[in-house]
Amino acid sequence: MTEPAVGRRSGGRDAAVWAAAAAVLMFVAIIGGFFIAPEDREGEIQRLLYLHVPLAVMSLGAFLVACVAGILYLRRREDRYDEVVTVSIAIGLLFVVLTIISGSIWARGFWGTWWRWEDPRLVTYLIIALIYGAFFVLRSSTDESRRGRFSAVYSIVAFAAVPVSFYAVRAARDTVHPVALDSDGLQIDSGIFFWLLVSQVAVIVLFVALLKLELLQRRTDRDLRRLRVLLEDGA
Amino acid sequence: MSGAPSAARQYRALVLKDLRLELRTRETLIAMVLFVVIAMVILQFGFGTRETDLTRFAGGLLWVPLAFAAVLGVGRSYVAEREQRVLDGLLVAPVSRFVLLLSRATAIVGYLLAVEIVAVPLLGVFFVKGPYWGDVGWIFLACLLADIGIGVLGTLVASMAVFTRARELVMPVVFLPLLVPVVIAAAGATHAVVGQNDMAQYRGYCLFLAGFAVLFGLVAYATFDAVFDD
Amino acid sequence: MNDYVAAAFAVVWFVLLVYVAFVGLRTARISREVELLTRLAERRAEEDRAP
Repeated sequence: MTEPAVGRRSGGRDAAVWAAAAAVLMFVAIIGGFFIAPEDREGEIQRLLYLHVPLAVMSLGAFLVACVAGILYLRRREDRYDEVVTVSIAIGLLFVVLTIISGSIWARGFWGTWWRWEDPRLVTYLIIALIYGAFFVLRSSTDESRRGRFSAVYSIVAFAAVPVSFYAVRAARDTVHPVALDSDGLQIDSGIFFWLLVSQVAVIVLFVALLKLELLQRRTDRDLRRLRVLLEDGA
Repeated sequence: MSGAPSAARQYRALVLKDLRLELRTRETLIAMVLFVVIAMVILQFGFGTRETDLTRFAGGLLWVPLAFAAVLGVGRSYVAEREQRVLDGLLVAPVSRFVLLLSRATAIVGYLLAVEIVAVPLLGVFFVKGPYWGDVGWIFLACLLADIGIGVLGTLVASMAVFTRARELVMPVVFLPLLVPVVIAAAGATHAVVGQNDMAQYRGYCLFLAGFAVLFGLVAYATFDAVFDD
Repeated sequence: MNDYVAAAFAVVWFVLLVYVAFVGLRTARISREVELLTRLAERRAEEDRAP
């Protein structure tokens, strides 16, 4: 019923460690990417890549985590999996929005427009934002008895829709137009690649830190509520 | 388990029940058709005033209205309150959830096909310059493949949406983003036939639609039970 | 440095600030809750001592 006190304390420390690591790594990644990494022929705007790509990649990672947690929830019906589903999707959605914003700023700097329907990845991320935004619409209008189950099912359905959407949007554009962010087409300078990797690691750590912090937060809320009930009932 | 009819018979019975319900309320089918037509007209005003030849928009002009009609139709299939009690009855009966899923999906496919029988010829009349009526068969095939995917995914989503508070709003918000690939592929297939006569592209899109139906058929098969786990 | 890179930095800072504010509000709420519960607990301890 109650977790041992020792476990709880290290839960807080665990989150703090990850948060500190995330802060350090993000700082290193931003300084490295924006000041140290070699300049690309495309100019300064290309440095946005060090934020944009890791966020884009990690958002999909977050949705994968949510899908796995959803499957685990349906198998074991434990609330903690439902929590991971919700928090992962929330963080993933945040990362997707940031991806779109940074992608849009890049487009403005590189192509001159804030939005390009010809860019399959940007468009697909918009669709993904809508799919996962709908998660919260569904969740908030479902009553408690069904919320966990439906959230889990949707986390699986949505994740299945992700690669399908990428493929469909790409196929819809029968353009030979080079995708602005298609770095595998370009010759990757090893300096750029290194800092890209650093940024990716930083964002992964950031995701884990945010996840742990939020889960810890929710647990604390629950504990406080339980404590309150205990104290009030005692009279 | 002796005495319980075979899965195939259950399936047929359920599908017939759903279709009979639809036919009895013929007005809704007519309403759906009218909806698609008016949507086509409105869309045309969005594009048509400056263009005289809308052939290259034919795919979208067919599938945007169909997508919205699908959202309305799929959501509707659970609405009647009488239906709710019927649903409870079904869940208690020894019907496998999967058969229930299939029967509903089939009913939706039938429903959409009925709408498409009217919409596709209308597309040719309104929006295609010099339509070649032999194309209709190909368009219908693409419609069928798309409908299967819509039916399966729609049943799964509607089964959740029916238990939510703001049902009419939740359904489109949740279902439409998931449908985007279907709209892309179905409109693309239609365009390949009507606008471009590129059968290779048509085949590609149809393959995609079939893959979509299979993928979400599997997902629905795996998760449908959990939706009704009361 | 490019205007757009500056814009990107600004966005990141802003998001960070919003997050910090969010966490700060949550912490404040929890502190209040803890204070309330502490008082409740103290009151109960007194009641137990003086039946």
